[in-house]
Amino acid sequence: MAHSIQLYNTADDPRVVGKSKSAVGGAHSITLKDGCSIDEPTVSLTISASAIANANYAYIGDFGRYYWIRDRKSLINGVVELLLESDPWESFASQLRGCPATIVRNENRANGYLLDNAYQTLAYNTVVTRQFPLGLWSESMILMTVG
Amino acid sequence: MNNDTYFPQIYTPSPDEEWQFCPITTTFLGLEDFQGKNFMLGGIPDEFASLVRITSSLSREERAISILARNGQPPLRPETGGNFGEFDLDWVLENLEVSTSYDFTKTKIVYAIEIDKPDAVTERSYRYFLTVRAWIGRIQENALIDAAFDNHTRGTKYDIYYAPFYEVYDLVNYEPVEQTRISQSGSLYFTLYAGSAINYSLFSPEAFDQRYTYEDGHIKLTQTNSYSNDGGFVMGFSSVTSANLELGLDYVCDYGLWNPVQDRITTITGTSHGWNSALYSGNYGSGAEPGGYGQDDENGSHDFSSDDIGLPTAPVLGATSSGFYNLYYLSDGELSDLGEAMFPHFPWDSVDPSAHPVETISTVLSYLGSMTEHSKIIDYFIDIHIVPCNVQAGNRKHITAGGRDFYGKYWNPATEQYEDRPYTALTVSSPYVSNSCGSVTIPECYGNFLDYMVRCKLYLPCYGYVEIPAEYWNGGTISVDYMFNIIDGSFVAYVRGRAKHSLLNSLIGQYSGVAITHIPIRGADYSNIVASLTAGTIGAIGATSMIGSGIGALAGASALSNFGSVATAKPNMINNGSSNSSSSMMMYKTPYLIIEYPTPQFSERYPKEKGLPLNVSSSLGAYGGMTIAEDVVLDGIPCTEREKERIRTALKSGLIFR
Repeated sequence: MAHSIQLYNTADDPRVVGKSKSAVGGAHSITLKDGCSIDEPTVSLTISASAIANANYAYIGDFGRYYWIRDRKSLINGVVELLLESDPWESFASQLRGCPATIVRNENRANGYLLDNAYQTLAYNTVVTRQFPLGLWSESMILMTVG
Repeated sequence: MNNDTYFPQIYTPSPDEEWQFCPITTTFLGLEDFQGKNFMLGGIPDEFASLVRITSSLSREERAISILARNGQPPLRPETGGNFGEFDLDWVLENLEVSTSYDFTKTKIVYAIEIDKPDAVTERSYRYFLTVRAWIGRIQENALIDAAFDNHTRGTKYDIYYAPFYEVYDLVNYEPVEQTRISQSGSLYFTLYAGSAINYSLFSPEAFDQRYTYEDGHIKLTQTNSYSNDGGFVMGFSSVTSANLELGLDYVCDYGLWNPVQDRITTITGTSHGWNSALYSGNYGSGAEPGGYGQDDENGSHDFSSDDIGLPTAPVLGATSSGFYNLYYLSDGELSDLGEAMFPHFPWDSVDPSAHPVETISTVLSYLGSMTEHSKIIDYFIDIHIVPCNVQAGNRKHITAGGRDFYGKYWNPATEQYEDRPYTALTVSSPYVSNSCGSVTIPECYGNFLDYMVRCKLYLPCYGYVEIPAEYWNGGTISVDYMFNIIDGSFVAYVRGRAKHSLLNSLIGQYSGVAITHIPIRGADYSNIVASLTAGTIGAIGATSMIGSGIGALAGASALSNFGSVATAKPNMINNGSSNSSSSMMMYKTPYLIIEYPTPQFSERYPKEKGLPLNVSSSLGAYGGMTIAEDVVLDGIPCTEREKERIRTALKSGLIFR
C-alpha cells in the first residue's frame, strides 16, 4: 500500500506542542520498510538528497502522526531512506491540550509560596538588622525597707 | 405573589472557554435549593439584621419582583412588585416557587446587605447597600457562576463585581428618595482580619461615618486597589467595618475558578472566610489551589481565624499591698545622703574630757546611743538595687524603717550640734512596671516562598536571642513589651506577632529573667551576692539562649538542592553566652531583629526554562508555555500506549504549549 509523506522544516524545540513548520516541497509517495513500526517507521522515497537537506520533520497522513526525521540515508538510484520517530505530543496536540493533569510547574502561572526546588540562591545570606523604636533606656534605684 | 424569578437550567459551556472567575456561594445556594423547590436565601446568620433582595431582571428599574427578607423579623410590608418589599424569610421559603424557565442573559440574583440608619432630623432612613448581582449561568453543587455588574457599563458575562451604593430611603412612603453609587466595577474579595495589606469590607453606617466623606451626595473611598488576572478583577476598599457586616459577608460569596470545558469549579479560598492572599502576591503571578478535601460531603471548617491574645495585666497583689514593706525610688543624691545618715561621723576629737565633764559625758552617751540606734536600723533596710526601668513614683515621704520615720543626724556647724534631719524619698506606687519597646513592621521581602526561608533572631534586652519563625511576623509586625517586678528585678518580655497569614497581634512568646544590680549595704550582703553570681543562681539568664545561625536547620531547606553541602558546612553562630542578673544590665538595651535572607539569583528566562511552581488541577493547555505536569489523564488520544508513556515522560520534564 502506498503512503504519502509531507516533509517539513521546523526550528522549534522538540518539546513544543504546536510547532511552527514550513513545508519542504510537496507530498511524496513513500514505501514502508518491511516489518517497521508505525511509531518509528523507516520509509523510502525517491528524491534527491539535496531536496530534503533542510527537512527535519514529516507528516504521514495515513498514520495521523508527525515524525522527527532521525536519520537520512542516501541509497542508490536516487532513493532516500528516512528513519522517523513519532512526535506524539504534536500529533495529538489538540486532544492533549484538553487532558486533565496536575500542573506542577508552569511558565505563566505560579503560586509563589510553593517551595521551588529549582531555585538558586547565592552561598551567602543577606543579614539585616531591624531595631525597635524603644528600649529599656531608664534605670531606677530602689530602696526597700521593712516596717 | 407574582413570581417571575427565573432559575437556570444546565448551561452548556463553550469548549473554547478556559478558566473563568466566578463567585461561589458555599453556604446558601445549592442546586438542591432550586430544583423543584422554593428558592431559599440563606447563609446570612440570623443574628445579623440584614435584608436580602432578590431580583430577576436586568436592572432595578426592570425588576418584576423584588423581595426583601429580613432574617428573623416579621414582614413589614409585603409586596409583590416594585423595588422594595420585606418579607419574613420563612414566608419566602414557603411561598416562593422556582420557575423552570430560564433566560441566561436576563436572570440574576441580587444580594443586597442593607443597614438602616435613621436620621433623627429628617426622619428618613439612610440605607447602605452592598449589592451583589450574579448572573445565573449555571448552578453546580454549591456553586454560583458568573456575575454581572449592576451598572450602566455592563461587562461581559464573566465579569464579576460589586456595586455598593447608598440610598436615602423614605420610611414613611417606603420608597427610595435618592441613590448614589459609590464605586466602580471590581470584584470584592473579603478578608476579615488584619495582617493583609488589603482590607476588603462591606460598609456599615459606622464605617461611612468614620472613614468616608460625603461630597455632593457621593461617598468617596479612602483607598482602592485594583488587581486583575485572567479570571476576573478585583477592587479593594480599605475601610474599617462593623463586625456584623464583615461576618455577613462571609456568607455571601466565595469565589473560584470555573472551567467550562471540564465543567468544574475550583474553590480558591476553600472557605467562606476571606481570601487566599497567596493567589495575588508573589513575584511570579497567580494561580493556586489551597485548601483540602473533606470527608463525605463535609468539608473542614477551614477556619483560620485567630483570636487576639493580648498582653496580660499586672498582678493585683504585690509586696507593697501588705503595707509591710516600703519601696522608695532614690536619686543618686538621696542615696548618698542616706549613707551619711546611716553612718554619721561623730567628732570624738572635739570631746574634751577636762571641760564640762557632765556635758562631755552627756555628749558621749548621746553619740553612743546614736551609734547603737544606727547599728540596729540597718537591719530594717532590706535591699538597695537598680532595675532597668522607670517606676511609677508616688508621693514623697519619710523613709521609714523598723516602724518609724528615719531621721539622720547631721552636724550643724552653725549650732555646733548634731541635729535631726528627716530623710525623704519618692515612694513607689506599684511594684510592677510595664515598659513598651514598640514594634517593628517587616513587609515580605520577596513576596514568595523565600520570605519563609529566612531565619530571624530577636534580641531581647537583658535576656538574649530567641528565634522566631517567619510565619509569626513576615508581612506583619513584631511587638516587644516588658513587665518588671522592681522588688526582685524579675521581668517577663512579651513578644507579640502579627503576620500576613491570619495571625493577629497575639502573644507568641514570653521570656522571663532577672535584671538587677544589687547595692550591698552590709558585708554579708556583698558576700551573698558574689557567691550567687559566681554560682549563676541569681537570675542566671541567657544560658539557654545560645542561638545558632546558618540555614542548615531550616525546615524545608533539605528539600532545596541548592542548600545542600553549603548549609551543612556553615558554622552556627552563638550570639551570646550565659549571663546573670548583673551582667544583663550591661547588655544592649534596645530590642532588635537579626534577619538572614536567602540571596536569590536566577536567570532571566527562568520561568521559560524551568517553569514556576504551581499545583493546580487543570487541562494541559490551560496556561500555555513551559508546562510540567503529573498524573495526566490521556483520555481520548488515539495513540499507542508506548506513545502515551512518552507523553507522560515528556510532561515530567516539560512540554511547551503554544
